[in-house]
Amino acid sequence: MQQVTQTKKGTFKSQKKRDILFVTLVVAWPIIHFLIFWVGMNSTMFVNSFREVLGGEFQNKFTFENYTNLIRVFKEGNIDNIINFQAILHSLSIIPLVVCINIPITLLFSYAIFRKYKFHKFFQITLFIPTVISAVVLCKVFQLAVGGTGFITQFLDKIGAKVPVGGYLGNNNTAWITILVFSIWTGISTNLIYFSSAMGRISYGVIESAEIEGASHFRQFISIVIPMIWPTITTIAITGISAIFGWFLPTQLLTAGKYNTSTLGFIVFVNAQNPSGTMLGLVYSMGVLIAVIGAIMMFAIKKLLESFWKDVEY
Amino acid sequence: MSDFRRNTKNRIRSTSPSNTVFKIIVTIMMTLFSFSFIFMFVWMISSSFRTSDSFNQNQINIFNFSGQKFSTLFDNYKQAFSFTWKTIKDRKPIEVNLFGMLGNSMMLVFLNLSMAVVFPPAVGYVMAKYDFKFKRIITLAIILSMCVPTVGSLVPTIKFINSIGLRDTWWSIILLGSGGLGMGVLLYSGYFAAIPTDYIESSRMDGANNLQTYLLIMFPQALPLVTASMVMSFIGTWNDYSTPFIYLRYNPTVATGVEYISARASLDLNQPMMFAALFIMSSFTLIIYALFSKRIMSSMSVGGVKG
Repeated sequence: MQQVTQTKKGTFKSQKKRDILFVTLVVAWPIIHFLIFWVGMNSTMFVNSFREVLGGEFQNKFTFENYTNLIRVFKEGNIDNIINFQAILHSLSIIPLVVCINIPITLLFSYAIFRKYKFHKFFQITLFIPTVISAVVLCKVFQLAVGGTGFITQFLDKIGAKVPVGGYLGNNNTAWITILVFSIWTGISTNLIYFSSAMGRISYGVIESAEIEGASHFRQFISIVIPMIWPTITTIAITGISAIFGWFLPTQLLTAGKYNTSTLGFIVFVNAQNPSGTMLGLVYSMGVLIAVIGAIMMFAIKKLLESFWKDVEY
Repeated sequence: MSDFRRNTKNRIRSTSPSNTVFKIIVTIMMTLFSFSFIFMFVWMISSSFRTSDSFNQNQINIFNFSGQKFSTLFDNYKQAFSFTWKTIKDRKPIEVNLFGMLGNSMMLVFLNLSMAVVFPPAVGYVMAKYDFKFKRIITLAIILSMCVPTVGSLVPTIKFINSIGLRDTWWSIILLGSGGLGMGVLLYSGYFAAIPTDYIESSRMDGANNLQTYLLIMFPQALPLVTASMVMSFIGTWNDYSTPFIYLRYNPTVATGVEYISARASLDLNQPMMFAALFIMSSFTLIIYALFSKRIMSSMSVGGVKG
């Protein structure tokens, strides 16, 4: 406990003991919880991915030679009519959506709020609505609007767009794209707080100097603001991408997995409802693949993002 | 104001054409997003007061209240509150109406807020102000839990909760939510690190022990962040769909309950009743956000931002 200087000589040892006791009491349960629910559950998932399941029961002991489930994940194109490879592609397709569309748009909006553009207070409140309102509400309203008789569908029909039978969420060719549009629509909201807050810490003097040098707002945004809040952007991007692998709610609420809209998270979620089902071995294997591939991707993306700009002291 | 700053402000005001174009583009984009959210909300409120006939004839005409009398204006809300979700558990019938769902949501919020105020601030405090052996392990645990996608562990977790007999009980929520290692610890750790250690030394000189120092001296100084994270936790828990859907199957909260109301509304071709339920659900979080939005906006930052 070096950070807390001792006040009296001779009480150092007893104070140190009291500090150790206090720290132990505070961190004991969180560590135990992590060991049970993160280490324990993920180890169980890993071990069971190498065991065969028959009738909802695991038949044999764990051995690395028993990798049937892993092979089935790659070989079998279909699990309970949920197209498997398509689910992987769908989950991966959300990554560019987050990195190339949602985060840049959120950054632009945060910058406009930071620079106090006209009506910035109004925008600060209204753009945050999707975070305050439940995804269930957003999904239900969106579902009705783009459904077979929804007003967006009717409007697009009137202006000559090709409207599929059953609406945009009821067609194999359009359902997934419609879900992606929904994700862009609702996805810019949450991180607005973090980006605005990070930009708010940039010294006015820095912006002032750039103005004197004649830098345009766009130039300042690209060359000053983004590099200065880069650690925040990196953190948000990594946590956002990590969440993508468990992303299932829009699929669950908008199409219930129909019309080729399945994702990895949705497959796990659906099968988790029936933890004695026959698909468990496959789900465990998928879980292992998601964790391994996801972790590798996370750390590669983290390294890549960190290589752009180092931490800026200001 | 100094001459230098006044001159600079004047130069800043004289915007170049490129700045104007940039501003217009960004403002148009923000306007489109903002109005789509506002329209969605107005559509939801307006439709919740319309008759199903009027709504089915023309969804978009939000001011069309034809056939609607003032006395029947709140009929959709009455229907939403009289809706009862029925199921059977252990051969016993279970019935939950919208009041019950709201009660379950409040219980869930109470439990999660209680845990959010106990664990993350305390862990964040010791991480910021004490050096101890497991500090690196805790940091690693937080990074792992944030970066490694462990969606696959949902199945063994459900099986484990099942095996200890806690599924469909409030204890499962307490057990799962009491971990404390996550983004919250990072936020609190950064916050406490910025508070001078002199406070701790002074309180020790006055005879306070570690717990007293934390509870009486340090924790009150973190109240702005505590309030902000409590509000965010309230909104997140109130809106949470998957946790009650999986672990509280016989105690539907309002987030899972509106799914059932929505299904009934679709069957009855009475979407306005669904809108009424959706508005009831949203109004709680909107009120909380309206009351605390400034506090939230000023207290949140992540990612080691230097300032």
